[in-house]
This record gives sequence, C-alpha cells and structure tokens, in this order.
Amino acid sequence: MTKFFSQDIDVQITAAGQTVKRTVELDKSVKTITHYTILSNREDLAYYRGSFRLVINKDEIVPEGYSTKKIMCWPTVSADDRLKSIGNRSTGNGLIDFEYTDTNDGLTVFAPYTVTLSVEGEREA
Amino acid sequence: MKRARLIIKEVQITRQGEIKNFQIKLPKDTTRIIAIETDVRMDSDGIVLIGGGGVISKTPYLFWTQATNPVLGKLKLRSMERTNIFYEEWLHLILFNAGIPDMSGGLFVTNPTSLNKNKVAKKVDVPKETTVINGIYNDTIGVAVKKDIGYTIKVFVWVETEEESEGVTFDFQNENTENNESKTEKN
Repeated sequence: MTKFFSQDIDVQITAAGQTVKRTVELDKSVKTITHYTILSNREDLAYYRGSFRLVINKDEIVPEGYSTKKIMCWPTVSADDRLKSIGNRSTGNGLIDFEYTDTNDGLTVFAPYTVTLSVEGEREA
Repeated sequence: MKRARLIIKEVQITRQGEIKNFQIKLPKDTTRIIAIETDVRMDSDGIVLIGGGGVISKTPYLFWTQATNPVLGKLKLRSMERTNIFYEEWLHLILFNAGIPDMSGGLFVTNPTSLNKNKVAKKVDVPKETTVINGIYNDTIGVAVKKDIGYTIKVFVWVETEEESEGVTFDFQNENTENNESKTEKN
C-alpha cells in the first residue's frame, strides 16, 4: 500500500547569471518519484531566463541546460496535466540534486526571485 | 523499455539572414533518435519588431493584442541514415503571455502555440549508425526587420540508449501520447 507524496524544493536567485545547486535528502519512506514541475514567484523570469539539471539517486533525469520553458505551463492547464511525468523512478539513496542556472536575456530585467522544484511520487503507508 | 537520454545543442545567431551549419554529437550507446524539442533565448537587448507591427513586451501584459509568437527562422536536421531531412521546423519565440486565454471574443487571432497545454517533445524515429546529426539553421527575422538580432537556439535531441530504463519513462515514450494530445485539442 502506497500513499501520495509531494515535496517542494526552493532555490533563491539573487544575482543575474547565477547557478544555484541544492541537494535534498528525501524521507526514507519515499519510494518513487513519478512527476515534477518548476514553479516561481516571478514566472516570467524563470520562463525566459531559466535552465536546469535534475538528478535523482545519481541518475540524471535531464542534463544541464534544459530550458525551464519546456516544463512550465499556464494555470489554465488542468492540475492533473501540469506536471511532467518521468515514469516511476525509485529514489534509492533518496537524494535529489537540483541545479538551476539564470542566464541574461534581452526581454527581461533581472530581479531576485525564487524557483521551486516540485516533485511528486509515492511513499510507504 | 530502453532509457531515453537528452542531448542539448546551443547555436548562437548574431547577424541578419545568417545561415549556421552545426553538428550534434551522439553518445556511442545511442540506438535511435526518438524525439526533438527546440527553444529560443533572445540575447539582443531592447525591443524587437515582429510581424504585424507588434513588439515583444519586456514584461508580461494583459490586454488585447494582435501580436503572435514571432517566427525567427527555419531549422533542419539531417541524419546520415536518411537521404532527406528528418526534422524541419519554423522556430517560434513562444511569448510568456501566450498562455493568456483569448478575451476578445474571437475578435483577434489567438496564438497558435501557447502555454495552454503541457508541451510534449515531437516524436521522430531515426535509426542511428553514425555519431552525428547535421543541422542547418536559417535566420529570417533579421531579414524581415532589416536588423541584426542576437539570439540562441537550443535543440534538444532525445535519444534511446542501450541502458535499461529503470522505471524512467518520459511522456513522449508513451504510445498513447498522440491520442491524448488530439483529445486535448478537441476539448
């Protein structure tokens, strides 16, 4: 018997062109990760300027440089469809590495913002 | 199912009408190319004129507009295993505000591409014998506005490798993806 699991991992971007890496250890009861998405308090900045790398249990799900744009969608998309599916990845050692890179862009003016990696999965009941 | 891995290639465009040839190297354990995604990041500062007399806003805005996602140029990808080009696309800059629903009651044309649905990589099925893909990109927005516009195009090549998937399956690997997409569009 498994239960739904969800966790948000925040990174603060304080300077233009900054790369921020954060490693989070999940609770031992979490067994698999099934979906993920990226959210922000300044969605326009994350959309135009962001790229990231995601590693679960030392397994690179997407490499450095994958655009945040490819993951974000508007709230008009139904909640069930907003997250990206990655199948059913076992968490193993429970470590999630999230590396977010801000890149200067001609359409936006930098201001400090927060980016959130939201993961969903299953945990033991 | 075998594991899909992502290869990322960035190409910078700086001059109007520029034609760039580039190669994308594939890892040795690649068995086939299964999907392609693209993206554009504007490097030029300031406002850029786009078709229809609109401008690309620096900030998200919420008013009725005729501005559509501007076309920047044409991308073609060619593999040595196929005599012809296996992937071709007019590259759009998808504006952040493209997701705002049409509130003009159909008076203005809505953006054909928007954030109103989750993006899925475009499926291709190309066997792999050599280790490179040849790419050609032709800038058209610079020619249209008679100005050098700097931007970076990103090509995301999803390849299938010899590794076992270990539970990782991306949405485009799901055989029902196309059916789901068409269902979403109808809705």
